[in-house]
Amino acid sequence: MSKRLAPSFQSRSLPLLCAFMTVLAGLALAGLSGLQTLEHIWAQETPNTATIELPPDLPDLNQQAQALLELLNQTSGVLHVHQFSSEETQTLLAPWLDQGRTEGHTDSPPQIPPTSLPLIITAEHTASLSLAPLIATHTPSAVVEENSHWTERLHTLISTLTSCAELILAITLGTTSLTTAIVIRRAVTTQRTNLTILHSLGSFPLTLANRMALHAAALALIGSVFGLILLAPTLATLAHALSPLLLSSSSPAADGPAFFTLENYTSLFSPHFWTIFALPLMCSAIAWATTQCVILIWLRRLP
Amino acid sequence: MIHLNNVTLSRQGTRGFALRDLNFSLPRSSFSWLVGPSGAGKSSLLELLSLNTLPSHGHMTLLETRIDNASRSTLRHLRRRIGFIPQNYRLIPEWSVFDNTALPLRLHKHREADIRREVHAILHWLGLPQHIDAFPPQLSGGEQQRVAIARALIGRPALLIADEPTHALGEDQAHLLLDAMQQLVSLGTTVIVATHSRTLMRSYPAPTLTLNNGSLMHQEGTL
Repeated sequence: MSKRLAPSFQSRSLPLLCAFMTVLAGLALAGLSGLQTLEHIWAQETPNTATIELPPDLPDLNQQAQALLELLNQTSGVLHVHQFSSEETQTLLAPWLDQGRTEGHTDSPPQIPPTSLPLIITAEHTASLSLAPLIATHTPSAVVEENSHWTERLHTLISTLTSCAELILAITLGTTSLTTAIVIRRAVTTQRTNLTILHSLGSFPLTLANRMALHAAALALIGSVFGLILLAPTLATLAHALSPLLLSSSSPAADGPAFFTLENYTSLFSPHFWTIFALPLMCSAIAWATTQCVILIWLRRLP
Repeated sequence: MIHLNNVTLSRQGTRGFALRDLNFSLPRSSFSWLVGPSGAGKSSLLELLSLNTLPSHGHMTLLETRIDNASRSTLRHLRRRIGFIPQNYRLIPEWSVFDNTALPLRLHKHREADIRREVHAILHWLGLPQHIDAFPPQLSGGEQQRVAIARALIGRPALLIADEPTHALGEDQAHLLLDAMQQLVSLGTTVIVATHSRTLMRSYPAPTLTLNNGSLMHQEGTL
């Protein structure tokens, strides 16, 4: 004989709803985490490099290139300067030249006469230094491409995608709260008669609300943990698929081993990812608070 | 003990009145019958006295407490001192007979061992010891009524209100219940019983409140 003071909270749909919502929120959180990892990698591993191209028809090409190399080497903030050899330039241009090839000429790579090749110099420099104005003054014919422009554009793209993921997460949590409230309200409705009887006997409203809220929280927790279990294989598959992008090349997992170690997963996901394990607690808290509110508001209507 | 002064109870959702301008007083340690034809307002008055509804107008004093300006907390404490045997029993179907009966004692935070002893004693007295673990839907109407009686009596209420408490009981059990109510009166409880049974009223002569069309027609006998 249990020590009963309040009706039990019975709902079959609440655990199921929490499981689905956990899967949705988990996927949004995983996407958010992946974007944050990608942004971190780009910020850490991509150096600030300027690519300077001197056109092949420039008079005194070699002298101008030499002067430019000297200028770059003397400029403070320039970390490393490299002039491409004609072989390196051929290799660099190969993808573009391949597009123009016709069928039946697949055995040898296309060659451009060295006199028609542009002269390419790359210069790694500190983030605060902008080489474009300096080079424009010194060699007006040179074309300068800063890869930091791409980093900025990618950063903007990631920021946009991050906002989308955060919005999805917020909508998922909002929908969870709302649908949980509806499900809980329906479950409480089935106990209205019992609640009225207990109220008429002088039951303390908080006792009634607390006991039912604890039942609801437990059901939500069970459902949400089940949702996490459902989500685990999907996340592992996604992690394997994205590992070459997200893990640095020095990591053994980047080559795609059959199973990752916990260490691999730790480096694969940003710290925010681990909040995914807080989802069951969040679902439980939402169910607890919603049940409390629904019951207390309803009991306030009684005399 | 109980004092009603121009108490009116509106019908929910209509302009009509369930009770109109009721004025009467009942002293502590008294037994009263409440009579009247069907629809006279007996159940409404009992719902009012058990604090399941509150007066629309007028002043009501129960157990030395003014109801019209009482806080929710005061009303809750008063409800715990009132035993109510409703006509439709109002048992919680998912709870066992034991849990239904033990509820008032649990609300008073009695020790579980004491609760067990008292529940067994009262259910034995009402002839229900074999049904202690049964659930209300498994019981007959008379048995459910006895569980409702057990729940109302177990907390030794200061005010006991009963709506047709004997209609599903046999003659012997009805007399057993009325005798128990008389004992409670001698211990200080105020008892009001709504009935249609003239036989019972003759067997247990007591002051009578007669209602008709929501109004008190007359109050007879010494209170």
